[in-house]
Amino acid sequence: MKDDALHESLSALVDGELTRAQAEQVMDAVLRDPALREQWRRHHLISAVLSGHSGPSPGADELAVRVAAGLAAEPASLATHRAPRRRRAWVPLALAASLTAVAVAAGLMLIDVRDAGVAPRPVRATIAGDAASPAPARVAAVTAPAGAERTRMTWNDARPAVEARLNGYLLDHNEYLAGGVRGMLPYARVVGYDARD
Amino acid sequence: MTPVTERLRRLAVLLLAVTATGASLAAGEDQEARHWLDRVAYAASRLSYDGTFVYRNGDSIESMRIIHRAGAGGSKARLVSLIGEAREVIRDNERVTCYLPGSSSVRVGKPRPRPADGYNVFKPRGDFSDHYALMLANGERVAGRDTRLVSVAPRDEWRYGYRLFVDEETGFLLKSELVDGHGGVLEQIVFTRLELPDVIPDALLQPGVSGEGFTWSTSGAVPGVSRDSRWTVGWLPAGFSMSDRAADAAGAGRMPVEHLVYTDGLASVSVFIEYLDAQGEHLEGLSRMGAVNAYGTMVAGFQVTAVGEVPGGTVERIGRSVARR
Repeated sequence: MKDDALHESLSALVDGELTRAQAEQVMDAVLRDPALREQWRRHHLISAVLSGHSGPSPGADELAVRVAAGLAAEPASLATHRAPRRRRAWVPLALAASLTAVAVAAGLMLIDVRDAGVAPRPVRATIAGDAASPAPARVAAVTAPAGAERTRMTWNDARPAVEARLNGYLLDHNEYLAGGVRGMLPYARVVGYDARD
Repeated sequence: MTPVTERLRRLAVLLLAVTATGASLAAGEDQEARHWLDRVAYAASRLSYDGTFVYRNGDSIESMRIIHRAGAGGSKARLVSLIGEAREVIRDNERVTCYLPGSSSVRVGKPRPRPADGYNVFKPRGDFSDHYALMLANGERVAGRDTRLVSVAPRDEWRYGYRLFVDEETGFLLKSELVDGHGGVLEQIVFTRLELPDVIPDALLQPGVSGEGFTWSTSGAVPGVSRDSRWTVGWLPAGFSMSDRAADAAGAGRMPVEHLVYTDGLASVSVFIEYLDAQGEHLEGLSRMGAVNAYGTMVAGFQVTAVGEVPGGTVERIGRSVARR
């Protein structure tokens, strides 16, 4: 399988879009290739954290860094949400034991957000690895886009003088956000801003 | 429309229908939700914490660490980017300092004076319920902790909604989403780690860079300076009124700036008025950064800019209504 096709398949696997035979083929490739394994893990972490189902986080600060860094490193084929397709029934995923551990750690659940209807329904994940006793997979709702291509946060007016003034205003504005409900959090906009150095 | 947004839209419609039919039932829930919002405001200023969160604004994703120390002498907080250039903001009772190593600059602003008892209270106005519907639900687990979900849905198109996931135990805001009228998430903060240590060492609240050799600048406006404004804002969404006014401190290095703040109890819009000479590049029209919208226009040689986490149409209409007395 060529790289691009593999990325596409990996993404489809995460979304529960492959038949069992296809899924197994992709999982074989993933097991052979450490780079693909890393991608698989990132893909899930990103979905899990953004949807708030990360569970007790494995590596404290590290997790958040890995997630955000993972997005940055994500190849376009994985990062870009593929065109929606009209879809079929739930597809059981055959996960090998080594991957099960990762999925369980991240508290993953695969949910098909594109299925029609109001409430998301969980995909049943069949754990059929070579582990002696496959752990039950906890599952997480994927409600956020798993990987919009990373773009830096900027005002959509590139003129430096205008941008600088808007940034100054934003800093001053943050001090006056009502209610104090969100505390320091509005300053994330300042810290996250791309200064375009 | 993608199926995902279609689903969110349907969900939003359903929520609206539920809100409309359950109006009387909701009165008690409304009170309880307000209590939770108050808990959040209290926790944000009274807890000492050290946490890590993922921040998403539009397509941009960052991870950051926040450290906050509450105390009798006032609180101190530090927010630092964990990826790339280590931008950070440090805030205490005297100043808000923003370090931007990438551009070798530091910007210092004056903090808004805090209430004497040192913590913020969520103060909904009397007509708050005319503009927002509050709902309570069990939230998902965030950073390994159980949460309550406080949903704040706007009743008109002039403001955004909020989904706040609040730690059951402490009232800490573990996950926060700013939501547009179609249910789309504009901005999201999700904690991946939260610690509540008894003591926050000084070292954790020091900037990671010295600022040596950096360009330092200050904000022009000083909170609490009273001065008769020669400017009027002709239109505000129902429920908005002036909450603060700050004016320029002479010699701050910028042209005089006036800063007027309006709020409906939850959302805020700032109106900045700054003298701009004819050569200065000015903003005419809308600009956007994720959840924050700004609208600029020139009035009698002054740049008037309305900025806020409200829809573009709101800052535009406010900005257009600003006039000189």
